[in-house]
Amino acid sequence: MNNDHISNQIRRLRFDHGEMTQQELADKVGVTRQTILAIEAGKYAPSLPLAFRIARAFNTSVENVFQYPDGEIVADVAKPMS
Amino acid sequence: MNSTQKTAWIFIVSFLFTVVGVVYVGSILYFRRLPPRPLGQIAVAAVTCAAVGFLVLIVFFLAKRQSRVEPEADERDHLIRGKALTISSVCSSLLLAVVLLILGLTLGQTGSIPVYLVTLILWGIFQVALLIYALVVLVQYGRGGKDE
Repeated sequence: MNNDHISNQIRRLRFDHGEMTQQELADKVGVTRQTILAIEAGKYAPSLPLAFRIARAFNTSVENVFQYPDGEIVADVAKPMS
Repeated sequence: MNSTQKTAWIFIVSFLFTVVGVVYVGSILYFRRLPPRPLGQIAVAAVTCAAVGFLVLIVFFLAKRQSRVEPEADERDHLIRGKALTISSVCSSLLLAVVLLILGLTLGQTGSIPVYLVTLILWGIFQVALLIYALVVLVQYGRGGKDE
């Protein structure tokens, strides 16, 4: 379960949304509290559907919840065709 | 603690009960006599009470959820269970191979063992597989942590 250096703003967003507890967020997105804890601590990278559900729980976009560092895209994929 | 972690703890406790039972019965068979009466009766009563209490506790332990809408398992639980199952299957297969190798080397081509011993060996390996499964599950969950 590699987190692949994905950082997140879940902790901040929870506090911005009325100090939502991990259990409340877990109930909203349909996972266990342990999973929210692991995601928040960066120990587990959620699936895409779960990432969307978490973003929707905060009424925001996935990019505002999860961040992937720049410069880690495989160079060949980004190369323009000559 | 979610249901996967609870199940893992139940496997560990049941393994410990099994070890106690095996040591007790094994000592009786090995020494070819029952333990002194008060000690034997107390031991059997204590283990029986503990086992019954354990079974009752399991029901409440598993039924109690972190919240009313908590799922039985989510995507991370499935990943953890899958990895634990793989590791315990590989370990128990290797253990079975080692046991068969040792039996083959010690008994030779024409040697034989009692039928009940085969059952005990397979049952023991199954118990070890459950223990490994439980330990891998608990290690993957880590220490958990409190709500923040």
